[in-house]
Amino acid sequence: MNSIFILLFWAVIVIVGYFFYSKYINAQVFEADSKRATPATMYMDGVDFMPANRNVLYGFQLNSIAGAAPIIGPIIALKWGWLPAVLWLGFGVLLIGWLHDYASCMVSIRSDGDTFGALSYRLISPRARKILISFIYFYLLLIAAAFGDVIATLLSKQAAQPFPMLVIVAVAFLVGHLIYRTKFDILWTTVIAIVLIFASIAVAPWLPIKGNFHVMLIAVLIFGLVSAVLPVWRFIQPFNYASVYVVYFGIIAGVLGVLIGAKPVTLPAFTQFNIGAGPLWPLLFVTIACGAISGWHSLVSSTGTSRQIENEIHVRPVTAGAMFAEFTIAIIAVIITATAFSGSDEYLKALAGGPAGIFVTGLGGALTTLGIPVSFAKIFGGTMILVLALTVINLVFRFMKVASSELLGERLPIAKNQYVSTIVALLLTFILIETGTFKYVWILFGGANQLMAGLALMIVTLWLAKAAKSYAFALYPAIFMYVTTVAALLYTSIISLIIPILLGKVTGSQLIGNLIAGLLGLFLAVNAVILAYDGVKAFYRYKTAKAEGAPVQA
Amino acid sequence: MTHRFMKHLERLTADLRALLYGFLIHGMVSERAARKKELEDVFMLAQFGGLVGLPVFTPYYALRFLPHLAPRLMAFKTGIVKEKDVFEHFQEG
Repeated sequence: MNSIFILLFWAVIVIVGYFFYSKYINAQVFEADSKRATPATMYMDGVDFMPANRNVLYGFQLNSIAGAAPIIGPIIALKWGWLPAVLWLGFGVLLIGWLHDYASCMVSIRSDGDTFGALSYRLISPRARKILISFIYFYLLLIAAAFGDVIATLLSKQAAQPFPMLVIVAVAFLVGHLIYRTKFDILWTTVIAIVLIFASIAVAPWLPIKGNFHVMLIAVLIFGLVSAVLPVWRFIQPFNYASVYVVYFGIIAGVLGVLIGAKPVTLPAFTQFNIGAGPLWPLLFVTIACGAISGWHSLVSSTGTSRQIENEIHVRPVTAGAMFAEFTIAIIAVIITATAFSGSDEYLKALAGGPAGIFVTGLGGALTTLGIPVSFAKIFGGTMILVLALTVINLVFRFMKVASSELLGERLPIAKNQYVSTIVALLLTFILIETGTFKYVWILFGGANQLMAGLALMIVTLWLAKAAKSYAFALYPAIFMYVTTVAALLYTSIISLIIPILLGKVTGSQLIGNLIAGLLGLFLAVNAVILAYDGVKAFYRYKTAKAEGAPVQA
Repeated sequence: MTHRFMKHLERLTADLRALLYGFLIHGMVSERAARKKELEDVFMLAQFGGLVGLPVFTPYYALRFLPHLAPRLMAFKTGIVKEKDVFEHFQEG
């Protein structure tokens, strides 16, 4: 079957989802009003609350939400066959994904720019906020472990990859210095950065740097430490800025390569319901997160974006538009992978070397269709994945530092020290990666991420119920996400991780890894159940108050 | 028709520039604005901290700034005492 048919499916989903379904919800349920003041126009402090052009916000939202997950997740999920992956991506984004991003932003706007922490406190219960912060801390730990593993694996397996990454790090410091200290022209700074980065990719085959997994992991953690403790302008922002051009070029070239190549799909549409990691339900729905639905987006939409929206009618193109763009990236990743191998056996053999390696092969193939040399194309693909993953790692350790200070700072003053809290986060990540099994860590990360999405949808449902609006279109996806993700977390924690310990099937470091990851999964599942319990109580409170016509007590 | 086409093209170019700005630069500009505001808040606290309950005696010469800073005083007062939620740190980076 030609991959063009997958693109046709993509087009149908985008047209129906963006131009019809989202338009209907925007107009009929949320009733977006161009005349209603948004927090950005009401408070306008020039910093947090500042109206921005909708196209600027669209670019900002897309930059914030797009990471490595829309690429890695679908690649792993192809183990079940390309058809389940494509269907979940399509129907997930159509019925849940765009709605989750859009509604998170809209609810925050209608609540004076409140974050999800404040909303959960008001709408659910006071303890919901504390549970949410602890939930997010461990969710970030899983992100750090999953992405850290991907990065260290790719760096250790491809000797040509480390050199361009070292150059990008050096360029980041240079760019930060040029822009912020010497006030050098940003256009020339960009040109210098792009030339240096692309030149390093071109010469990388002649400058291999070999290192085993453990060495590369330590290098990644040092990167995380530097990102977390240095001022944002010194490293993180110049790094994100300089490296985004690699991603930009990669996406455009990848799309062109897919369209021009139009290769046939060589992987099977469906393999089997139960693969090594577990059954299709619930695990497919947590393996593929970004691209279909991702809880991370609700955190982004309800903080930065909601406070910069100038007009309510901009919310749909910014949030839903960016989500459909991410869906596009995920579909491209599926097509690239499904057309890159001669069959399942070759794909599974490549997957054993890490999902990033598969993307490198696939994107390399797509780029050679455009006449780009193979050696450059492959290293470029690897650099793109590494940059996407490192961008997320940057933010994760910074936020873990803040979250641990918030959670423990009152009782343990030392938790407020940025070096201590960062090193603790790094140590936990190191232990989880070294002892854990990647495929289970990825599933736990996906489960936590999707559970975050379920929580966000629950908050949206409660807000709609309190405002006496129709809420079924948010309630049913929330229930689906909740049930599926708690099932995935429990299945992975108990059946895949803890039971092998009890049966004596694992020993040594794998036993420790299974125990840590298993307990982590159980902790997240228990937190989710408590939040769901509080959420259901709040829901009935609002329904009862609506029926009786009485003011609702939070 | 050419005129309409050119107008459409201009609008498309402007939208694309805004999109690229948002994708590449907007985060950096917002972060710089936030750091600038922090420094300004420190200055305002040092001069007019008494407005928000700090034991700061505004010096005579600082009062000469007052006519210029008067439009910003309300926003300063509400902003400085506003509790920052931990989730707001997601805006950084």
